[in-house]
Amino acid sequence: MTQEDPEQMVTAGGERPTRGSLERRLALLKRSVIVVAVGSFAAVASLAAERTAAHGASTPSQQTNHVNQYQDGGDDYFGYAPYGDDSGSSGSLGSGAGAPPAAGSHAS
Amino acid sequence: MRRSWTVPAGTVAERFPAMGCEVLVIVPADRVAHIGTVSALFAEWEARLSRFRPDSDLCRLNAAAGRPTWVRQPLLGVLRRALRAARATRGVFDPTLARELEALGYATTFSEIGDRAAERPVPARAASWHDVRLGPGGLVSLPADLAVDLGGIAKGMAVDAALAALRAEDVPFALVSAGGDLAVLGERPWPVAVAAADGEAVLSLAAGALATSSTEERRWRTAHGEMHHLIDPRTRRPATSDLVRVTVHAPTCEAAEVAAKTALILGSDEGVAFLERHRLTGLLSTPGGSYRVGAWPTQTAGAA
Repeated sequence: MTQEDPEQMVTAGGERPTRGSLERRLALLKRSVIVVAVGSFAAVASLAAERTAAHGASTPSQQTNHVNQYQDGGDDYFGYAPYGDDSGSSGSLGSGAGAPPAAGSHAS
Repeated sequence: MRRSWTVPAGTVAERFPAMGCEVLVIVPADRVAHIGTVSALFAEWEARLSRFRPDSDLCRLNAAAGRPTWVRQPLLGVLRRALRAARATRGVFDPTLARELEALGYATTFSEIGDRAAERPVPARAASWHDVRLGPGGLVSLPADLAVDLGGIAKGMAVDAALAALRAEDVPFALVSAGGDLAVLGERPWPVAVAAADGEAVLSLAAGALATSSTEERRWRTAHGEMHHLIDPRTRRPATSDLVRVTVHAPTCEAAEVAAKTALILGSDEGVAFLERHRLTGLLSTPGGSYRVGAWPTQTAGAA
């Protein structure tokens, strides 16, 4: 068992940073984000503008050309029960697994 | 303010390499023995599903392309779900791009690629994922010109299966992360940092899973330029999306992984529409900034 490095945290999508992302992370370290003890979270008011201010994204024409072609099917895959029957594994995720995020906000 | 993270009181954490990434498992301190369940599961899934182990079930299936082959679990289940994901995304998520990845230079484990990978022309193909047939009893017919790569979805499903196994063993709460794609079990919230192009947010994740697809990672060089591992099935080349990173929150790590990859390949406009149609929550990053879709789990800190 390991005692975690105090400077580490659980990070989503955090593997193999490139030089660019590493530089961003170093910059972020100066801001010293990180985590407090589990179970002590305060609710946070909305911090993020919806996809507005930081947006700045434009869609390449190539993608626009495929709008109709790649409309996804009516399949309910993303609301489907976990893998279970197909994978041969048993059980399912925790009781909250099927629920949408309860509430909250997000900043980028 | 500088805050740090330590293993939450009353829990233990263990990290180990598997499936080409680092796996992190956190369980209650009095359930430490159950970490072995997770490590054994990942070891088995890697042995069965690796594209880089000639004796894996996946390599055997790919080697047998062109003739019906019996396939066992977990490969059968992962392949079935991957094809379902392909249908749900109209093929934007495509599990049959292994030959394209290999031609572009990703023919060994990522750590073995080195400074410069050999690239060769992407081979022609007449078949697609539509043509993969799953028959009764696990009989799989893979067209001769296709090969399967289940990297991301297999990792996500392994996370889900690990949590299911812990739940079956009455572990009350846990977190399992495979290379940053993670899911949680139980009712307690977990602090999770989510990286974006212009900041990092710490979320309180109480249920479900988070998975990230990014073109900033798993990159390599060839004589023809820099490559990354997210292949656009429309071009059969690395995606040229305006998005560089997408993180999705979904009920399962499998769904989050598929949705994140799909949204990234589609690009910002279509990717947002895709997530909204499926009522999924996402954080999408371009080089210039990030924005969210949907109601994100409670944020406890981070950039605004």
